[in-house]
Amino acid sequence: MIKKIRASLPYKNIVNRPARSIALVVLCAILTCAFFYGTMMVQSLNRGLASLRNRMGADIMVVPFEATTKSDIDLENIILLGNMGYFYMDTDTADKIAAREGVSVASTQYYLSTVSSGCCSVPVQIIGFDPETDFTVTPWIKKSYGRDLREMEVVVGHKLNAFVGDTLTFYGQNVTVAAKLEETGTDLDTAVYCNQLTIRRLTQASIDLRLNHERIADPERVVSCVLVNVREGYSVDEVCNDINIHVRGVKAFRTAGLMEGIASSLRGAARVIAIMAVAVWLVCLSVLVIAFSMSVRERKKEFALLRAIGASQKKVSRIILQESALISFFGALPGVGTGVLILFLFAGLVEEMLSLPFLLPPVWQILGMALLAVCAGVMCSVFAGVRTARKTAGAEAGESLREL
Amino acid sequence: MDVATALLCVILTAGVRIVFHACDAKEDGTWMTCHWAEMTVFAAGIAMTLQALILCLVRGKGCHGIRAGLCLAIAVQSILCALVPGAVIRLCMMESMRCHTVMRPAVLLTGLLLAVLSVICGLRHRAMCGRGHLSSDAQ
Repeated sequence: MIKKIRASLPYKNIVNRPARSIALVVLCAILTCAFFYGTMMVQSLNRGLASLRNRMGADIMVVPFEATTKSDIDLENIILLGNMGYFYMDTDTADKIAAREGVSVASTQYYLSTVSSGCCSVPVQIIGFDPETDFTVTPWIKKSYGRDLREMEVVVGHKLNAFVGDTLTFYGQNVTVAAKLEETGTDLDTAVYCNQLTIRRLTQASIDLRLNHERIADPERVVSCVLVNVREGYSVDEVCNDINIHVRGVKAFRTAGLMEGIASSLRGAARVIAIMAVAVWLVCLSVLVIAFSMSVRERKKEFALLRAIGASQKKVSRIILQESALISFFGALPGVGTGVLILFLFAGLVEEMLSLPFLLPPVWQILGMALLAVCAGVMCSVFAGVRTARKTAGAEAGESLREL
Repeated sequence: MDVATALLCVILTAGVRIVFHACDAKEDGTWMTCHWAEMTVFAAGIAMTLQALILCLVRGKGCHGIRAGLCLAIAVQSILCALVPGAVIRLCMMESMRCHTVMRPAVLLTGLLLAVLSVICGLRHRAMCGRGHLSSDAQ
């Protein structure tokens, strides 16, 4: 097969004009790379949002009022993306929220971020939850870890470079990694999850080291937020307003409302990326059409001679189309290869720069898309050569030779 | 091609210290393990740059064997260099940190490019070396 291709006229035409062929191959590579990478980016952003929606199980989130007024606290990012944040309220307040009419389940969470965990120059977010009432984190932990977490056992996010059985040190306290969670595409992938007993011991250790002593007086009597699920027959808005009116010093949010902000940012980013990919694709396609028609026009004499020595119209047009298909194939392969390499190597950097949920599709889907991009690249180039091939093959040999 | 190899060596060596360096020091001034991965790549990069310089400076018909050897040595070292962050020296705990998102992919990419380029370069010199022997036999 390869021998047959190498002996064919289109292949020889490509090899004998290296400058023109390389320029066309590069164009095809850019076209396929833009198509593949743009599609993958849009898909990754959509998967990130879907993962976030699945992960956020609560109807309402209640935080201390001070969390909404402090300029250094970005509540949306803390709650939905797992960014760092310190805010606390009394457990009595949490009990009052749980006792409100319309509240079906209320579970407390406790946020603590490390300043020096012995591993990283940036803090690690530790999320403490109540295993008895929790309905947001436990279902995810159950997928990776069959039983309940014991004291000084933690579950780590997917992007934390620690494995089951490893010992981590936070505030001088050793904790054991019991399980690793699935990837979510958010900053929650770099968080550490533990039960209340563990988080209290870690908080006490941080106070003993005089790191959190100004914020927390008694770790036994504070929580960071309360997650609420609404009882059947009550509307989320109704219960949210009820908590805001009757429980002092707190602010209740609908999580769907919080999610909408992130969803609109994601939709905006995905739209911009899609538009840019389509623009690059259109520009490359137009340049390819022009380049093919110019290169064929330049070789009018060659095709006229082929016709004069007996090549049929079909044969000439096949030569042109085979040439464009070969060029696009040679361009599409490195183009998609570059796209795959950039996608896998720099996915983390892109995620950091976008600051939005970003979850790569599974490998089989990426490879399928790569194959589709190669096919699309070849088809586009063949399409670019069709008009020129028809025009050139249809021209009379004698007329063409006289013109030249 | 020799110059391109030398240029990639310089990019790897200077880049790992200036452009795609590892995470900054901790608040207390101490370094994390990724810093030592950076320093290892930097040191190996200096050795490769020196070899690439020799590759560019050594000229003459009889030198193709030496140049092929130098190219293959650079290829082996660049593959090892690409493996230093993550595989040989463990990086920071959070995969969202700079050493994971910037240094590791950049070193991997540059190292692999350098390996491919120096293998091609080495094979070219080896072929020239063979041609040289043939022509001297004919004489």
